[in-house]
Amino acid sequence: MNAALGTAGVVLGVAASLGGVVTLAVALARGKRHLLPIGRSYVLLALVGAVLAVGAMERALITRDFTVQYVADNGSARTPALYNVATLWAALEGSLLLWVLVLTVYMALVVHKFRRRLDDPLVGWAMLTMLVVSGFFFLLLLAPANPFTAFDPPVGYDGPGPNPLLQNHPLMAFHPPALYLGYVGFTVPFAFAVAALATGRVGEGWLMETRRWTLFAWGFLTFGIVLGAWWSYEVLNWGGYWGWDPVENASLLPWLTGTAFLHSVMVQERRGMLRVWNLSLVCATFSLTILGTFLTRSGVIASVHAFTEGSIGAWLLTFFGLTVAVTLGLIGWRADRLRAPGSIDSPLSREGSFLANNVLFAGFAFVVLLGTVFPLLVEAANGDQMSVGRPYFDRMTIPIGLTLLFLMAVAPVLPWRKASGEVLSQRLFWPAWVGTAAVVVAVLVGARGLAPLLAFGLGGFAGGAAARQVVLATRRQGWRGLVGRTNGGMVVHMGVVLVAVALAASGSYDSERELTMRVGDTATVAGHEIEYLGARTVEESNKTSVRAQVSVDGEVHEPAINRFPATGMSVGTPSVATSLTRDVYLTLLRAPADDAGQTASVRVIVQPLVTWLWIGGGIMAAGTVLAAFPGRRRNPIDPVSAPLPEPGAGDVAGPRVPVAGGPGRTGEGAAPPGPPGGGDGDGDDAGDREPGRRDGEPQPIEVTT
Amino acid sequence: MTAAGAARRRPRGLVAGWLALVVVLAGALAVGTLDDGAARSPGDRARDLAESIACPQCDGQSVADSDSDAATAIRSRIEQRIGEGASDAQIRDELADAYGERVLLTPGRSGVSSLVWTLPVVALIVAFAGVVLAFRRWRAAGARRASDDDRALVEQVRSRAASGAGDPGRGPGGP
Amino acid sequence: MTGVVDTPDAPGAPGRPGDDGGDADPGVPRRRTGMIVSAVVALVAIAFVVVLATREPATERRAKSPLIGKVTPALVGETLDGGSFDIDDHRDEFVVVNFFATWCPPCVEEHPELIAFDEAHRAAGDASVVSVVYNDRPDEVHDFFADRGGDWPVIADGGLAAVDYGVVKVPETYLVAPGGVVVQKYTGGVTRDMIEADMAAVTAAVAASDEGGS
Repeated sequence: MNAALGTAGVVLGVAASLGGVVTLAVALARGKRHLLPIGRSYVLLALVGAVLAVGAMERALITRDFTVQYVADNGSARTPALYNVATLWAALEGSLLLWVLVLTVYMALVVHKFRRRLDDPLVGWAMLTMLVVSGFFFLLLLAPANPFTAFDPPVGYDGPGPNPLLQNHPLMAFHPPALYLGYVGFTVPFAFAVAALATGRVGEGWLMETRRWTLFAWGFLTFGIVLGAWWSYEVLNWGGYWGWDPVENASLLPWLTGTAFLHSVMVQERRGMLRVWNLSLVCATFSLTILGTFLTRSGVIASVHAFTEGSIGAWLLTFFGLTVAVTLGLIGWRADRLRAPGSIDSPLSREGSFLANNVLFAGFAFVVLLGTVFPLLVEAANGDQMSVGRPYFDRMTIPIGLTLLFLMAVAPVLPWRKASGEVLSQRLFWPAWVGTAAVVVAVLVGARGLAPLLAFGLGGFAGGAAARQVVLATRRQGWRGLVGRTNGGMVVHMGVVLVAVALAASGSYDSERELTMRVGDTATVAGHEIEYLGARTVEESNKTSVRAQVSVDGEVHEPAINRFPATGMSVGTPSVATSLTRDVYLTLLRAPADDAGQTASVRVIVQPLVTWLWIGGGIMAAGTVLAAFPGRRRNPIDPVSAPLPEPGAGDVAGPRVPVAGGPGRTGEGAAPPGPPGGGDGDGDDAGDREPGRRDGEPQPIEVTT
Repeated sequence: MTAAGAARRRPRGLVAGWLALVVVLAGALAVGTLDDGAARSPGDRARDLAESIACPQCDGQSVADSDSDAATAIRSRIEQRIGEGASDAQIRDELADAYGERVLLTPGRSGVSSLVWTLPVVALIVAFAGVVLAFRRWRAAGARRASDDDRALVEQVRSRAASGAGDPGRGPGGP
Repeated sequence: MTGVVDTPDAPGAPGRPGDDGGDADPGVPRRRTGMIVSAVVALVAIAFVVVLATREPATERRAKSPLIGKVTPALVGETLDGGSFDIDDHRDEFVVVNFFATWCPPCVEEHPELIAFDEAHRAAGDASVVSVVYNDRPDEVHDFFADRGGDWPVIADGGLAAVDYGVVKVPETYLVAPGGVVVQKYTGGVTRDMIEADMAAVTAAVAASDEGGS
């Protein structure tokens, strides 16, 4: 019943996607615009198919319907309800179901958003592209990764349940969906990029259409990655949160190119430049999500998180190759139209800093990609087996990260076009002192070493610059100073600073000890009093857990070893004494069963500021939400190449009235001070509208030569 | 905040302020880096080494991060060899002899594996060179408009290029 | 939205810098550059995809020990029964070095095979067996041998030899040829037949090379 329902959903999805592709392709090829809105029906049908399939699978999981192979392999009557629902994404096939559900929901939202413009070929091509993607993933579910194959359970059969690591922490219920919302969300900007290339309308239009979609995808990806790091920290029992594991890298890669895109997109909106680059970034981001899916699901790379292998690798690799080929072909074909007018006048300008930002982010992504696949390349070249791990990634990415922090401090105060040293020295003065203060405080509390001190200093610098922008904006605009892309972006920056400081501190100043203690023994680790109080055994429906009771500065914690009888696997579960300044991470090394819990071996890891990671991640997510709110409106419909206002006209500074209505409406009547076409609330506003400028300083930005 | 006065006064105060900042920052960094203090303890060395060795039994974790039997055994071997006075490189080589190069998480600096170190550096240099070139071209373009002579020159080069080498390419989309 | 923004080559503002004269004849050379760059990137991408496509799954790639063909690491230690063992004393015969633990099911499974092998070859004097305890308690090992038989040296050195041999996961067994060169590594349970087949192959190869040499 469930299997039939689910298969019906998948078949419906395949049929709707392929039908939609054919219909739209014919309509677009023949120029029959009135046929394009039919695409909506196909999209909605695909959504129905996905909902049906996911619904059937969840129903099968909840009712423990072991006639479905996937449930027989991954479900168990003993699995608690939350993890049972989350079993949908605990293995390959189910995770693809979640993928198509998220994708079709995105598609339906796009169709809804553009419901009045469905006959626009740009939207038509975007729909076509998304239907191709959804068709591909539905096909995966039909052929190489069919979750609904039948199983004939013997009487009294009970499945093994999901991998013990995946039923050990509630974060498992949230991390994968958040990650997928991010991963899959990049399909939308990709589809519009392809549409822009296909229609030849490669100007700023498609950027405007997808700005918020990209932002949401990026926000969810960020959130998903942070949740994943948190899950790793709380579950994997090794005291770390990021291991440069191939699967982690696979999620980081699109994040890096996506972050680069979010920044460089502003240059195109503002100045009409970097068109090829932006299209390439969007396409690269999407391709990297497919590549990442291949790496994590084909079994070519060993990883703690990898799903088991299957024939699905060939499919994903083919799709990756096709994606790259098609986008490259399109970009090459449209190269003539992509030539952008305009130039960047000075490296010391907002656009100059975005350029540097992009070079660094692209370099970062290159390092991560190279390090991840390098062992495969070497093996193909000469048959040697080798590894690339943390030491490599740390050494290569720390300098890039520090440079990015520096840019993060300087860029927000840079005006467009050109900055003078004087302006910079004024605007950066207090942020620089914040950074210096951070270094001084760090040294005073005992921090040593160049790299972490630079991280603290540059972090303070960047945080100061972001705070300055937000303070100026809120002083001028009240609460609206917190929303809009620029202001929200500054909030995101502050979250990034917290994350960077946390990474530097916890990575550089951790201390670790292994203690074998008898009941009543005490020890001191990095100033924390550790006492072993005893052990107890707790039986739960899906596991037996042996818990050591360890007191950390008087607070009792229970690191445990859990045995899952269904799979025979034992999984250690750490316990963390958390505070704002340091975490004490306890893991039980051996279950103290043999002498009735009299002795236990416990590893104690003390790391400073780990909590800042999660707080920083939360602030980044919150900042993304703020950035998605409409800020003050410029008029995004104006072409960037429109005549600029007369020099001096922009001196009419002062709060502008937000214009009602969504993007794309005609805008402000009064001459906007900046070059038009910049989108909502561009970053220079805070910086540009400074006292110094009112004093009649020549404005560097608006001067046309 | 009013005004012209502030703007006029500011520069001198600003310069002094920046100077003070440089002094304070240099002092703090000097204390923070020069006073690094004691040499690395054997425990630190063991930990660092363990972090650079892949656990052969597990997927993608270092020996330091894993509690598997193999990782535990390798950790105690590392501690023992450090106690016997072996150098880091020696210990790494011994482990590679037993388990294969695959357990070394730090790629070698010679042969094919050195490419993983050099390629990103080369790529970054090329990218920055491209950006610098783009700026020079932009500056040149900004300085003068194309004259008819320029256009003629371009035509000439083009016709030559059509029969010979390709176009050198330009613009920000490059790297 | 469309009309204005999407005109890709909308001329810049009057007096806007940056049109470096290319406007006179837009397209042609630029298109070629784009094509060239695309083609280069495409070639790299194709090579990349081909490399990825031809990789074996990670799980198949492990195993092959770098020790094969090399001189065996030192294996010296006190045996459980109080004697001592040094692999260098066994240069004139095959040595089967078996890493095991009593808690590992395949180790239990392979034990009778080792007993059979040991009994057959101890008499012939062409091979001996030595076991190395891997992460296990001596008393358990003692009981294990008492219960299941087997009478060959058993070394308990706290896992150090296992690291020298590159043991990933017990049971692992190494076949050391006369002269002290490691010729084979068996992961997972081993059988008497497997070992004997490899011994025969080595003996045959040695004989062949001796003939060729003489």
